Amino acid sequence: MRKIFLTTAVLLLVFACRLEAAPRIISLAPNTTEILFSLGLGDSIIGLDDFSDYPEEVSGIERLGTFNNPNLERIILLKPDYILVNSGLGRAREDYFTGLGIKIIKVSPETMEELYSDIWQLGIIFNKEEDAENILRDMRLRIENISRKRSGPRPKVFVQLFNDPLVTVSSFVNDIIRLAGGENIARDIKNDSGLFSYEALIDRNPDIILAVGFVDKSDFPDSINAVKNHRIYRDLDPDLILRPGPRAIEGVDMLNRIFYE
Amino acid sequence: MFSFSDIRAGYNNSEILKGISFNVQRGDFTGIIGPNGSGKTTLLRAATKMIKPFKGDVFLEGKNLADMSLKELAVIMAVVPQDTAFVFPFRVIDVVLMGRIPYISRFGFESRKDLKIALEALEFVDALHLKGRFIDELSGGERQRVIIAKAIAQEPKILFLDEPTTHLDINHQVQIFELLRKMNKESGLTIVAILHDLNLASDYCDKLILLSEGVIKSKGVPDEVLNYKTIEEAYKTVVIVKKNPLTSRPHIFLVKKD
Amino acid sequence: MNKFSIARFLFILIFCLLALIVLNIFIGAVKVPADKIFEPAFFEILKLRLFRALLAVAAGAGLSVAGVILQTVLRNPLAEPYVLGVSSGAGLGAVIGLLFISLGIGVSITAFLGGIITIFLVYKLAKIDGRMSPENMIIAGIIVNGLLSSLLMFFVSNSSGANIHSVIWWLLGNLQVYRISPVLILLAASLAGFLVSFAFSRELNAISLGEEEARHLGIDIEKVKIILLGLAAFVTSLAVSICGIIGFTGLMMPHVARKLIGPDHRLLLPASVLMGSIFLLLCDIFSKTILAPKEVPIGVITSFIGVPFFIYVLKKSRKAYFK
Repeated sequence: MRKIFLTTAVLLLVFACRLEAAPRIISLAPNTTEILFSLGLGDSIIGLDDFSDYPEEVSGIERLGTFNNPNLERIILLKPDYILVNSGLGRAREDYFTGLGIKIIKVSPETMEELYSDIWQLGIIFNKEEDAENILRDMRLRIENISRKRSGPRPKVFVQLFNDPLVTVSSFVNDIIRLAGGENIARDIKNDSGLFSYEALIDRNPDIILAVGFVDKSDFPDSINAVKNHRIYRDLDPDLILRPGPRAIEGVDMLNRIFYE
Repeated sequence: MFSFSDIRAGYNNSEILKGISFNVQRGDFTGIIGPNGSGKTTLLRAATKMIKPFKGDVFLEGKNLADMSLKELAVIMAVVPQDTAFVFPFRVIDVVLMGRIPYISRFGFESRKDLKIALEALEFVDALHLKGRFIDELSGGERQRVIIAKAIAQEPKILFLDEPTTHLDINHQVQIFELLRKMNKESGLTIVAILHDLNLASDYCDKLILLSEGVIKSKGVPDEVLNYKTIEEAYKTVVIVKKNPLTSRPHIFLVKKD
Repeated sequence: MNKFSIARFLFILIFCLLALIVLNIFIGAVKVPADKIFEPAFFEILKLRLFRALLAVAAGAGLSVAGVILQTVLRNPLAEPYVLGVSSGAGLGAVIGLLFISLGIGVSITAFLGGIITIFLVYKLAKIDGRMSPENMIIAGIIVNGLLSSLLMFFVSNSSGANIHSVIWWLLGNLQVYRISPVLILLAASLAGFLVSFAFSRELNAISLGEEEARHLGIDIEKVKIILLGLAAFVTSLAVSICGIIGFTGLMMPHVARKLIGPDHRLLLPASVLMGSIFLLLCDIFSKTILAPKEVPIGVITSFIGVPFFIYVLKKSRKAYFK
């Protein structure tokens, strides 16, 4: 009789510890998904947005819509402890979930330093400080090596997200470009994306154009350096430079190679 | 000059005119009368090529209407509708000048002659003083006169009118009828008009055609058509017919149901 | 009719047009000193500004012609070039083009096809009870617009963040061009549209009286309607596929011109065309400069400037035009 009681108590305790140690996390942005996986929290993810596509392990996880169009009912049924987003769910939804006791965490860093800080914070929240430390150390090291490789004047860079109308990006990608040794000519655009003036493009004369996103045949005037020197790069993986996550380092590396080839 | 030969016509496979035949002589002032729903408007639309009859032919000056183009028709026939809604504010003179459209080539402009005809038409209807005004500012009577002027400017040989005096005061009604008589007698214009006022029709028309339930119940001079039996049958109400002392034409008086 | 004041009015419009073209050459996102704009160093920027000004003229003219035609043929002073579904059709075409961009199909082409196909749909729908009456056409346009807009919004709502922005910016209109060819194409189409509808001025005037009245004057209404509506749809589709959806212009310009110069199409058409071009040139100055180096979509500006101006004109007495 006592044996059964003891075994049950131990089992319950272990079970309770596991409950404590396994938070239920929903990630509604590709970058937060990548960060979670890099911190070893892949198993804690109970739901993802439609656009999370890295790493491979995401394929088995349930999809819950997008950040601006989430499957509310399903999310409620899943009873998450945390929902991670990039730009947010909208004030009304966020207040609602918070009211249900769900914690919303926004990860939208505008610089690499902010990204480090966000990864560190997540490490603390989910008891993965060691993993966080390792990732950050790794990232910082790689950045340093890259920075040492740079030489010469910084090339002027333009990122084209869309050709007609001309849409470019700013914010986080500014820092990626800077760390890779370049300079985003559109960095004075306040939001993360915006319509850009053709005149300003000609006036600021980028040396390099990175054509990512929705682009068909983009044609730029011949007076632009990037056109003259055939330095328009397509077929780049946009996620490496536009997604504020651990792979941003690879983005920096990739750009550094391009800038100084 | 103008005739219907066994016309059957209507809308959406439903027959309104059930076999109509009549003749209009050149210079006649013919009135089409009959109760609502008898087919008067359908008759007018078949006569002016707005609808195609199911069966039968319409002849104008010996030619079959079906073989004539709208353009050919527009220089012989003019139409005055019951009421024209003006969505856009044209000036009176511009409205009347539109009557010259059938005569002006595509890239041509109105000639002096066209302007003269338009002004003469306005004068004829006693509306010359309104030529610079906006059409949607005019009273009902003035507007009708302008529309008639436009029809005159088309220099037609035959004029069709659809209840030209329905919304007008008595004085304006008489005015319009006097105008029509003037056009008929002085210019020899053949006129066919749908009329709702039997007495005015009697006073002014040479011939009457009484329509009821899609067939012609009676046609001929007013004395023949306006007898109390025929009218009672068509309009389903009791009437007395007496001669108008001023015009010697028959007038209809309604009898109250007691 | 006072020929002198009409001539004077048109001359003033032409003068404004030329003045604004010149202004658009000197003003832009980048500050270039007036005396230096013609130097070789700024040649590229000068080219851009010129192309853009010409595109504004072409789009303004084309949309205004389409607006006049639609308001007259549909006998509705509230009609505008997009009422028959061209805008949502072209917009949907553009979005579909974006999704299949890897096949190398240009967005402009799919947008144009979208607009044209939509017109056919509306035409077929309007003829459903045999007669292509203005009421039928408007209702058909509303139905098709509703359907296509919801499809469009479906695609948009399922796009990721940056893509949503891009699509919406496309939809809101933009006059930036690098190459002269789209400008020339639209300019030619708008000019053709103007000349053809001007040639049909008399028919258009007669149609204003009513369809039957026009028939009584000997005009083959169905033929004229098909030609002119087809023309309006073609020019509008072309404008949307090149510039996106620029709202308000096609509604407002014919309306304002009619109040100032009257409903005679021989005057209404030239006046509307000039005013449309002037309006877009003016709006574009704001588009270029307000948030430089960012662009503000021109569709936003046209409403902002258009609305107060429109209210002002509506309040003015109709008798403002010449005695």
